[in-house]
Amino acid sequence: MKAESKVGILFVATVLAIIAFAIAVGVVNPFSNRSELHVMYNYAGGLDKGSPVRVMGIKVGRVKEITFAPNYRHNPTGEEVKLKVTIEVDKAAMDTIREDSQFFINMAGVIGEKYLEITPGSLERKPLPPNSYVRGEDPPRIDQLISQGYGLAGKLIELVNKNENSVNQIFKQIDTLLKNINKTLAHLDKMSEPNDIQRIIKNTAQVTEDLKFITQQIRSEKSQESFKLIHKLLFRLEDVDGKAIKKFFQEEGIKARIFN
Amino acid sequence: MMWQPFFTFFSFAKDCIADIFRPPFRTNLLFKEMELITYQSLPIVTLCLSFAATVTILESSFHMKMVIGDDALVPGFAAVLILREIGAIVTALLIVARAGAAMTAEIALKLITEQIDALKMIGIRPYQFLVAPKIVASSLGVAMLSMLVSIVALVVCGVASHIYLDLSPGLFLAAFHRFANFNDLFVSGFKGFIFGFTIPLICCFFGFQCRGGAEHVGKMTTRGVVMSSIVIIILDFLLSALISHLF
Amino acid sequence: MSTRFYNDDNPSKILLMLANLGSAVIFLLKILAHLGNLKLHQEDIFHQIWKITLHSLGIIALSGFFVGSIMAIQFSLQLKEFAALSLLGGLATSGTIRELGPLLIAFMLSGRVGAYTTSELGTMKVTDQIDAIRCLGADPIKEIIFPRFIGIICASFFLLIFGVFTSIFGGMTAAALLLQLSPQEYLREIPRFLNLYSILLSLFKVFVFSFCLAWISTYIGYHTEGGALGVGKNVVKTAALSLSVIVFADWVTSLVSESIQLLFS
Repeated sequence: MKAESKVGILFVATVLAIIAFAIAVGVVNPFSNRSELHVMYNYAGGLDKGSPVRVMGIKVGRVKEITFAPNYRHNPTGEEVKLKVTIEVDKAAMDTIREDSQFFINMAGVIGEKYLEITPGSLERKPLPPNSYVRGEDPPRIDQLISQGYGLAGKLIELVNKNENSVNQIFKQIDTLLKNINKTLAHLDKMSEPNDIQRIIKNTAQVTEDLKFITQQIRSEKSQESFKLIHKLLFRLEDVDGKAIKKFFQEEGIKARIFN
Repeated sequence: MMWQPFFTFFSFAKDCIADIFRPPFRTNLLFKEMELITYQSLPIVTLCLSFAATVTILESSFHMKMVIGDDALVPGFAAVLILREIGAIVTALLIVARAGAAMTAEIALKLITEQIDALKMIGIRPYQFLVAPKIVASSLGVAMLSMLVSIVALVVCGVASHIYLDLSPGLFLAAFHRFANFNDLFVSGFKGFIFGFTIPLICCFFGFQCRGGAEHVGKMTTRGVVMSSIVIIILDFLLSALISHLF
Repeated sequence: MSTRFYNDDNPSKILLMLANLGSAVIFLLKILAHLGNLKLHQEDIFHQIWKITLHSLGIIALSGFFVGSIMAIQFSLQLKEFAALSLLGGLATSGTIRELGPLLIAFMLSGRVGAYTTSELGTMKVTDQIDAIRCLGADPIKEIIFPRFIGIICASFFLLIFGVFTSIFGGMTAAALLLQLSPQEYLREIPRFLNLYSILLSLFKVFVFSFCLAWISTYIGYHTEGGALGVGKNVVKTAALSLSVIVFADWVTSLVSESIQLLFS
């Protein structure tokens, strides 16, 4: 083989290797089965050209480019959204992305490479057509949160500072109240001898027991019958002269007393 | 007086580079040189770079385990190191040892056996005949070789990480994606080009300096190899600093 | 080379290689046979060590400095991802000591010392000086080869330490100039990354590399034939072969060290 052909073979091999490398890295994609989407953000913290795009956590494409769109207003709401992120998504995954899919920017792993996460949409809504514009969810701005946190902490401190007097007073009053309760309890303790109290409690217990017995007896059947009889008797006696009965009972009453 | 050798060298370099663009263009010589540099060195460079790649993976995993405790990202780091640094330097040093020393020896011998004077008598410019084809062949050849062998070394990296680190090829590609760019390959090619450009200049310069007999030939060959190696390392440092600043 | 193949033998390439390998091993054994009387050759060996060290000091310093800086720059790119830039000193130094240090010393030595030894010995052989020594009744291996062999191995240890220091210095400079990392920050993390094992490993590697280098360069130099052309050819052969053998040995030692390390930890 001549020298030229050898060099030629080597050159062709190099070019092929470079192409293979380009495909492996992902720069060129001859198997173009991807469609594009434009996601609009107002803050895309850390997302770069070439960052991965995942649906339900699985990589389906990458961010193609990020451009500024200062004059764009999002369709349904008319909101001014200034950042346009164009992504490429595999066609196989496009069907899962529906009109109510949400587009988040998440951090992957400890090191924190940002990627674009797409939630699957519900079956009721239509799938998104390629090249459509959607509004993504702005990721939380840690720096804003921190500054708000600072603000809140500052306000709390101010509040406490201003009302320091009244807060102090409240505490003092609670203190006094507690002291008083303590004293009262101590007094009670000293005042009542334990024996008296015990006796009173015993008697009360007995009385209530007797009462209970009596009411039980009253409630029993015999008493109920007696009551009913008396009621009938009185009813029959109603025709009789009232005054005579009264007199009778008064005499009876005297007799009862005499008998006793 | 100390700078004298530098002046000689620069005037030599100037003449050689000027001769590149002077007709007649001896393309058959160019191809012959290129074949010598690339085709004949291919097996040895591939072999060495594969070993170097494996060692890089092993060492990177050791260090990663010490620093972070997880070696899933080792292929990424190793790939970038290989593409940017090791590919270019190891290829260049091997070419220096193989082809560069051969160039020096060839020219030294031709000088001693008065073949250079014979060429001058015929009316052929010795630099154009001998050195210029080597320069062009070497720059293009080393660049090409550097890129090709870097890619082969990356494949070997994949295999090595599968064997030693138990990383599947998929994980290797994922880590690789995160860290390596397509541009890194061109960094390797560009460095190869620069190295390939300087190797013949230095080696042939020392070849033409030869005065005495066999002993001097050996001495000059040694000096050529050593000087080329040092210049390559210095150039690599400058280029790395430059490239890491630009990108 | 030293094995004579007659014209009608027509040895295949593999046979040639094997024959050379065999004669190289015999050569090595002859050299090592003199290990017994080291004291006898003290002066010669010291002279060789001195000469080789002086010869290569400059080049090791220069290349060590620059390789140190290159390592620092490369590792800084990776560490920036993890925002762990303060670890740069430790990482770069550890990488240099374990990996690049021995490799770099070996590469530089293969150029400076290896090619030089081959050309020196080759010239001696071609100008019949070696045969003259044999005529005088002395053993050329004992007088010439052995001191150089031991000298190369010993000198490479000193040069390794020197090279490591220069590369630390180079890394520090690069970090200070390009990465705005102060020297103290660079040096602070170094003890964290160094363990006895790394140092032993690098010493072992240097030993293996310089052993191979010494063996190859003395063998090829000693068996030069064919005048000035032969000398030139053999210098080329040494340079190329020693580089590839060193890279191969690097791989083998890395593997071996991995398994040993697993045993220890």
